[in-house]
Amino acid sequence: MAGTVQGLFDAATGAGLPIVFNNAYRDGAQTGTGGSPSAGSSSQHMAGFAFDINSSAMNPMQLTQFTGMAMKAGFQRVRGDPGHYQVTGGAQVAYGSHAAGVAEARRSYAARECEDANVAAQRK
Amino acid sequence: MRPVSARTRMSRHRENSAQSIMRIQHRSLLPVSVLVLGLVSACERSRTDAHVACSSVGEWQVPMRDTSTSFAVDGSVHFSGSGGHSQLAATTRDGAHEPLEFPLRWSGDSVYLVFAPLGYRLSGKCVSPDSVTGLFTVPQPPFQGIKGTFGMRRTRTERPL
Repeated sequence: MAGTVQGLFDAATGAGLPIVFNNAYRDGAQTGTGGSPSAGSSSQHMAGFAFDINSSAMNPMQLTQFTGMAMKAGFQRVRGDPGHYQVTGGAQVAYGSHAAGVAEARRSYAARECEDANVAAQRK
Repeated sequence: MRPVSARTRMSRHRENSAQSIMRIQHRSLLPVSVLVLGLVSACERSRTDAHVACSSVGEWQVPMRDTSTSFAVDGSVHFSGSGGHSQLAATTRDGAHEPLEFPLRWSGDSVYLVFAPLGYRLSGKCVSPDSVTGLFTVPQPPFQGIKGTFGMRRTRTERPL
């Protein structure tokens, strides 16, 4: 997902949208990035299948535009969580279950095969 | 107006009975009109007392809640003579925190705050000189916006240095 999110970030930035990533992967043990605490047990963040942006930095038209780009990239929004985007269908679509997705995300993160999209975005 | 006795009136003027009746009616109406004005004034005072005013200057704690989505905002807003600024953080049911640090303005006699490009809107009224209650909305396209209640409590009269 990291590559897809990075591509989405680059496209949004290129379109002039004031995108600020807040966080992506986070699990129960991680204190989180962007000032965020750990995700709930059913959160797609734990499987690395969701990311948050600072939605307040965009006006409704910009947020609508970014949402359209995200949906084309395979993400969906969740009502009541303004900055949250997750892979449509979640980790269970790729791994058969949410738990399997979480386990794979923890293994991958521990093996340094990927890093938090927020950290990578801040380096740029 | 000094009351005029009927005897004085009759000794000074030869008035027809219609005019006399009109004057008596006018004088009778006078205390009534004063009473009406007094009642109106009292009602105005009551409405004024019911409309509590509060100035914006100072630091306010601002908890905001939408219980249907578990969306919450906490922190403070500060107002000085030159304007206001928010130092808030939004928390979602998924555990994400988003900082909300923006300039903001307080409009009108009632409390009306608007901030952030996304358009956080708070509309309420003062319930005491140091507290406010009301409703807030946050757009979330393509869904209906988030709606909830907020309270504000002044914790400082001047912004801390």
